[in-house]
Amino acid sequence: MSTNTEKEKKENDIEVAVVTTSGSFPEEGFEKVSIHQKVMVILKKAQEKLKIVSTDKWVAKVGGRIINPDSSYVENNLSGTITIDYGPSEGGGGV
Amino acid sequence: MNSILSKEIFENQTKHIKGRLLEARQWRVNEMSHPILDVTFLSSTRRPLRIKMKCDRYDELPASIEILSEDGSFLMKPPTGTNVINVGAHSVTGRPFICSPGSFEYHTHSGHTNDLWENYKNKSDYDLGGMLTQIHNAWSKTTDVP
Repeated sequence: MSTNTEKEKKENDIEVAVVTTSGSFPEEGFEKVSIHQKVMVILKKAQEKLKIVSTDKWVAKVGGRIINPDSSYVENNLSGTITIDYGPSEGGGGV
Repeated sequence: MNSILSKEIFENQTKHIKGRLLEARQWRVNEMSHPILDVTFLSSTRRPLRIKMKCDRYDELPASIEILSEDGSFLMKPPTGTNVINVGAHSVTGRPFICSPGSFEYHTHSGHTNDLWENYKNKSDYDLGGMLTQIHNAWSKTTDVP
């Protein structure tokens, strides 16, 4: 039987994975973090772990929806278990 | 270019195109063996798009990128709404093309011959996975729905 504190903690957590064409973070499974943490924190961790030199022009998506890395998970209306699709935004030459 | 080296670069740049990345992006790999990277983008809200990257002399030269329909035929009327997919005829191939740095067709187009591949080579945004991602992100904004 779980206590109220455990229940509150569970409700304040989110399980997150980041996928890129340079690899996934974590490599397997999900990272448990607070829903109040900014999304950028795990994106930076992924960048470092996967040795991605620059993510300046990258975009983060969940279920095809672009999210704001400078906001928290809860501010992005995210909860439960999510996979963040992270990669370079399109360029385009415009001939 | 040394084909062994080209194969090594190809395999290094495609080794993570698998598993939950494919699930998250709804990508189907049709072929991923040097020199071909052939992937179909799937979605419940738009027509599938198949991208075939030919990497015979990669990365001395950028990948040549073909825009195909799901069955593998050339798509002469590709989806619109993004300037990454140029629906006009390429000055060499005569077909619609990926008009973005990192594609062979961009760098050989008469309007971009001064923008050299060397400016982009070795940058992760423009490696094989990066290019596929850019095209996928562009496709997800197209207005060509079923």
